[in-house]
Amino acid sequence: MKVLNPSESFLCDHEVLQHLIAMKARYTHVHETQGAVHAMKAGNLETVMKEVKDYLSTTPAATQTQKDIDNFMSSVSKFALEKAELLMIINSRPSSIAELDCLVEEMDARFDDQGAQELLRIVKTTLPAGPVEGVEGENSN
Amino acid sequence: MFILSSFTDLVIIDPQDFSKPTVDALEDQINTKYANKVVYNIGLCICLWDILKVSEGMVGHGSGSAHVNVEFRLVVFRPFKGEVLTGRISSSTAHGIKVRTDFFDEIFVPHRLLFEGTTFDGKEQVWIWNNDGQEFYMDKNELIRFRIEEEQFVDQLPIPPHLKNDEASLHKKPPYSLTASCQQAGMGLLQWWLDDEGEGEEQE
Repeated sequence: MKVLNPSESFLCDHEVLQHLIAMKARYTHVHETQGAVHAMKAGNLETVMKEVKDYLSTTPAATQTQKDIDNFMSSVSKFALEKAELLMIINSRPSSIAELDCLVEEMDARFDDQGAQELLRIVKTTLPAGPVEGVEGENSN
Repeated sequence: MFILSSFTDLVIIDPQDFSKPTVDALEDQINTKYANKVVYNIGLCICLWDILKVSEGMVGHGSGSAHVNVEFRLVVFRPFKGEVLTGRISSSTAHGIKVRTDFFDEIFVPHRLLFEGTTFDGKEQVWIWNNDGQEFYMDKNELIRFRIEEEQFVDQLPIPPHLKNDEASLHKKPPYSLTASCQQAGMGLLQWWLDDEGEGEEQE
């Protein structure tokens, strides 16, 4: 085994969840057409797939679509935000200023009150609230 | 939280898998080897993302298996320093709070990285944040938001035979663990910050 590039790029939760769902669908298809023997996968894979899927299903990634993320990225382009900050905002979809303040470093120094409110408004309008169970973003929409 | 890492590896396909399409056989082998395993200084591998390059299969002397050089990418769990994540409190001790996500258990928030004015209630085994005369309980199984501060990889070396029965060898350190903090407004239990005002609501 040789590592070519330890971190080629970041993935957002939504991409990982979609990948897992697609994988599961492929395996289910094999199960239906070729029988259970062909669809049997290693135990460690089944475990981690289920656990990651369970976790991501409680996060906002479960309700997002690729289009929501594209919309968000184009509307947020007027703010000078770092890539990592955008990634965290998409993954956790803050619903209050306090949450946003955690994700954006030194927010009060970089944006004034109005800027922060505007940013929060964009987040709330472009990204759908997470599943109710996941608590996040319950009181919008 | 997740990254893509690219690897090359020699994958061995046994003859009983020759009936599968090559891509599927390779995918199964790679997933069997890497899924849910920690690679030192890389992170916790989740599953195969895609295969980039595949060499011709070579059959070695003395066995019928095909040896294939594969270049592929894996989905890896490795939060960056400063990333904000959510998880559930799995246990609390006087040292701090242990947090888990569904697929990863080794996240620890030490006492020194909790909010100022946080005290441990030894009787109930729970951390309490005293903020302006209000008490906020950090109960077990609650959703908590935290910031990743440090990561630690421990190489899992085999234990030499003369140390096999040692006390220390029974408590192996996890191969990959994270240290997190919970000190900023907006951190802590998710239910504290649901209000748009940014001030925590009294719960219970």
